[in-house]
Amino acid sequence: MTDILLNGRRVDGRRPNEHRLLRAQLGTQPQADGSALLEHGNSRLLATVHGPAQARAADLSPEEDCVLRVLYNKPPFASMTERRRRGRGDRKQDETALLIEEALGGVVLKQLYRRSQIEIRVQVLQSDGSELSAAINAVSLALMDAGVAMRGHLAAVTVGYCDQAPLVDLNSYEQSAGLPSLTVACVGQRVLHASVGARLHSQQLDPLLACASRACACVANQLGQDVKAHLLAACCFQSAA
Amino acid sequence: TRQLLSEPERQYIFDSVQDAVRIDGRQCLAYRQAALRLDLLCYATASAQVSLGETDVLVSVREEDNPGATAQQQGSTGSSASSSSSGPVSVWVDCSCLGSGPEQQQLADEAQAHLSSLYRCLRTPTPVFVDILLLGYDGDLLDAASIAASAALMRALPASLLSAQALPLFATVHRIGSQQIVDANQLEESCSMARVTVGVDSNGRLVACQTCGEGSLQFESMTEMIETGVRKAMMLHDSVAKLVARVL
Repeated sequence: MTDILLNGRRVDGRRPNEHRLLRAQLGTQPQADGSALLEHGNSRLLATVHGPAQARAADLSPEEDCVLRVLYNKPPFASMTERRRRGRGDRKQDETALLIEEALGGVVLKQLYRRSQIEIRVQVLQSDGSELSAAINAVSLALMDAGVAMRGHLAAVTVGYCDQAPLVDLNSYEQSAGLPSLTVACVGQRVLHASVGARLHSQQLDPLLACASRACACVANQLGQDVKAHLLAACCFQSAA
Repeated sequence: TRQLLSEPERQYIFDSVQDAVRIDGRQCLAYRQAALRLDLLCYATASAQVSLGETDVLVSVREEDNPGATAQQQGSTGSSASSSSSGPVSVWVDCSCLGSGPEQQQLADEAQAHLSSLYRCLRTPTPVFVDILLLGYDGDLLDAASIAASAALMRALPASLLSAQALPLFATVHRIGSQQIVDANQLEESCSMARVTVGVDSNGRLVACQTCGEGSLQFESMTEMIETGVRKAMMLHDSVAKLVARVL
């Protein structure tokens, strides 16, 4: 494991508890109701929200208030490794879409959008690890831009465990090394999604969860600043006009 | 997403184009405000994003240094080997950002067929993958995609190759009544009777030409449209070359 952590630094020069640079732009796609372009280190994701709009009767079940539909697309050129050739409709992508959908189910105030549908499309432009958490962060910002009511700011982070120390925000190199990892999505102190990749000792779980929830708070804070800047710019523009 | 246009709306657009007024106030042979951004993706050999009005296209160009591995991978996944046999430049178009319906699939397939035919004559030492991602759509996809692709290829390919082979571009000319328009948006595209798409390389040679649409064209008006297309394509070539040279 020396190549993961050398003299207390990681492959890209970060400290174990250091998150990569996060930057978000809101409202980049004028055709969508809400959109966000998230830069997460080398990763770039575009999330767009269409709706709330009237749902098709076939999609609605009687007990369901609101249909959340997530489409997740990762084109073959997005990862650093060799360009892959594959058909449309990948199983792993469908699974990611489902996980995002489940996490959102707990944070979107569905009862306000009865019999309507919110479609969310996530487009990965470039991927460098922590894909699920980056996607959740992007979607959360796009929903804010669309003005969809939520319980709070949903933020997600992937943490790993190496040399008795938790590593925050794994990149693709660290993820491919097969470290025990944990992806957590939180709103404040409430965990909406947690998934473990690779084998993790149960004693490691507690420190890892604590580290992840702290990191989530930092991510929410960081991205919240971008949202505020966007709102401020919009307000200034309106008052000037 | 196909926009529904009622008959009076269609008539309104048709009549105003006859008086040389377009719905966004442009002249008949004017393009929308275009923006070109280069090298947004650090994993690609070169990349370019072109936005033409609300049409937004991202192109990634990747050279594969290891053609053996690619061929093997293609063989193992069982996908068709057509990309390697049809020429070293293979084009892939994705519209899933716009939705997952059959309409989007059709749009992607058509664009892929057109753009593959445009780059078929290009020869490169290593296989080159041109991946086109549509992020927003408001008409004139082929022109925007080919502008982005040729800007990215200009950055990716060596200068010796570019001087030997000229990169082609698409220009689409629509006919509405007796007027010709270029860079039609989605509404105008749905009123267009016929369109001619010409692929012109930077030496001014015609490398591809196709007519589409429900209406038919007089022979004279078709040649007229091809001429307009070639003129516009040369103009696009000039401005793309200027923009890319400024970055280099």
